[in-house]
Amino acid sequence: MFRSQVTIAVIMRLVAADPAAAAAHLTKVYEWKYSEAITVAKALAGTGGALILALLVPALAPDTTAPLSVAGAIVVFASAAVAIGVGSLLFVWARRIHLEFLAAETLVGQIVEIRPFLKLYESTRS
Amino acid sequence: MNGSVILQDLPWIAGIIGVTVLVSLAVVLVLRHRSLREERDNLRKADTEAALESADLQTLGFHLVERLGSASVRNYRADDEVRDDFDRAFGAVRSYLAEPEPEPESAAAPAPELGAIPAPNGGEEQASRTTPSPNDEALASHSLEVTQAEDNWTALAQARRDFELALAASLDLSIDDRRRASTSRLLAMAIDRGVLSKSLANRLQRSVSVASKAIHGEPVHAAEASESLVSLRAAIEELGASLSPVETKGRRKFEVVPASDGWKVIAPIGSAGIRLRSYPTQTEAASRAREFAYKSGGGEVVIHGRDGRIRNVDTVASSDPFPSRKEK
Repeated sequence: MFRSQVTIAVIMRLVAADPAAAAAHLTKVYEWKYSEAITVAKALAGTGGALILALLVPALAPDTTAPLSVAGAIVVFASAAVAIGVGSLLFVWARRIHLEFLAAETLVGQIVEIRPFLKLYESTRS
Repeated sequence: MNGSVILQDLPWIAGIIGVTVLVSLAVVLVLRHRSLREERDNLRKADTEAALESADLQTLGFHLVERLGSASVRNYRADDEVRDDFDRAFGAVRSYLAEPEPEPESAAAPAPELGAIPAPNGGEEQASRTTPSPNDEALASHSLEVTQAEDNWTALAQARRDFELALAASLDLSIDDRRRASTSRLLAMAIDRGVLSKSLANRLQRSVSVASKAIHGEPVHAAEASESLVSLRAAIEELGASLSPVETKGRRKFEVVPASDGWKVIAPIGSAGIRLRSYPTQTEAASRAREFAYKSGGGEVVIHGRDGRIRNVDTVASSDPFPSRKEK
């Protein structure tokens, strides 16, 4: 999600060169994007979970000499909520990456039909 | 570090994490929104109608690959307007490629041997304007080299396209009429108007069928491809002779000439000048001619007056949006 987007011109050039390789390349690119989004989502959700667990320490170890203040607990809880919330949002975005991959596959199918035109255009340009 | 120290710093650590996550999310959302908006603005700036109406490979290809192609897949999925633009562009390209023409029954001929160039049909072809001449031998050998040196369909696709344009121009059809009529229909109209003889039209129909097969990836014999290429190019040359010639040595020339229904632009395609659509005013025709020249890699736009004399000559460079003017 932080990297540059896949443009349609790139797909056209890939299909004009080799349609099968274009489909394989797109599959790999979107697998990477999906695993990147899922990894960040898991990291954020894990961070939020860790913060929540840290809040339970004063409750489970009541003999600690430096108990957490109420304000501190609120800050920790809010930060945990933000981390878990954004992590959940990234899980939803990961689904959109899959939909984007399906759109790219559809485009490949349409571009394969006009491949002769693309090759003709590229050959007259070079 | 003991647990007490960690607990004391926990709110600070959690606060930093929370703020960092929120700021990162805000930055990502703003950047995504900005890039989407920039893409949409760029696409809206494109002159879609002119590009789709153009019969020129370079114009349509530039519009599809360079303009529309700059859109991201994300934008394509999310924006209905972008999807519509692409659907229309793909439709225009499919129209450009056209569907394979059915082979005419009367033009059935035995497939030539691989590597051999068949002799032209005799008898009824003798009186035809495009009866193959001795010059066709040189053209044939060159064509065979061309089709063997590069993809068959590259040469055949261009020849088929040029032939359709030349035929439509000789029949004085508009771009819309040409798009609606299949090549078979164009050939039938050419027979009716006496532009082509029936036997020649059948032969050209077969050449167009072979070209269509090659374009759509079906196997084509090299000799059959070469014969089709010879026929189509000879027909283009012959049809082109009836149009205003366009000099192609040095700069490409785009001429604006008066016509019965307004003003027309003659653009160089191959060695024949091809008339594009009509325009109501000279100013509009000149503007379109400069646009075609700019998108075709530069050239000269020669504007004629009603008396046929040259009124103005503009030089258009492919990278210079402000062409210099030469008064004559």
